[in-house]
Amino acid sequence: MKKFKQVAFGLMVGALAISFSAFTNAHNSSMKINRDAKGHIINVTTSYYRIPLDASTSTDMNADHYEFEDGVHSACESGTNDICTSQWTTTSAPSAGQSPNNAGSPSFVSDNPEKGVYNGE
Amino acid sequence: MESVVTNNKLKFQVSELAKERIIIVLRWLCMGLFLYTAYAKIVDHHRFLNGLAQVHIISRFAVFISFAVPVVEIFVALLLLIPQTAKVGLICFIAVMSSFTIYIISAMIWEKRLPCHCGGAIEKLSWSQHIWFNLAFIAIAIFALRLIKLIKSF
Repeated sequence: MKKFKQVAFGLMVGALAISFSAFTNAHNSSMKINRDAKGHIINVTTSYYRIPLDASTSTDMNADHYEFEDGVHSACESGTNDICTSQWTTTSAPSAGQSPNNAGSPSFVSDNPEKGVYNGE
Repeated sequence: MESVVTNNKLKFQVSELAKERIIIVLRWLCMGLFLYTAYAKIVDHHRFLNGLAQVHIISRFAVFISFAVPVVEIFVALLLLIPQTAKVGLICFIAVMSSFTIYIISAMIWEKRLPCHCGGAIEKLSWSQHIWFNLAFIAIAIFALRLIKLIKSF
């Protein structure tokens, strides 16, 4: 009985660890939508891939050099130290293939830590 | 021989129950760490794999390692959870953490740039902080193992 209790408490600790992990690993690429009291979108912050032609290791704040993509095959191909994705805030939610400019009033937020070159998918 | 026993008594003058509780807490701490990082590696597997592929010394085995590491972490966490396998779990924990630490040190020597996709808040640590963090957990596990040796009921 004592050991059963120990395992039960251990499972609780494990569940806490996993939920804490889920909390701290909240996806960088997920879209953060700010709305006003009436539910209208104020702005949207999300990750954009840097177009491979414009890949480099330094920050690029030209919105035309980025593209939004949410396909399951979209990824950063490793092998280089180029900055692959960056966060931008826009006034509307982008759809696939759009640049931050297309989504309205782009404002650069930050580079994401992931390195590589966008695979273009 | 007698003096050694006396020394041990002086070092750990706490009840058996307290020792047992300390061991349980330390086991849960180690288990929590592995579950925390394993979950992050599974949920963001692609990112973890990308990170491993960038490290030249292991890039050839990146796919295998990206699956093996979270599986091993979950397995060790299960060993730590079950009281009967706690001792084996702690030994495995020390072995796995030691191998991670050796990997970090060797990668620091051989690699120009090191991406850390270790999972969650641990990614925020610098590489030297990471080594100290690992060493601290290894020390915790060794301490728990020593406590287990001192307890008759284990």
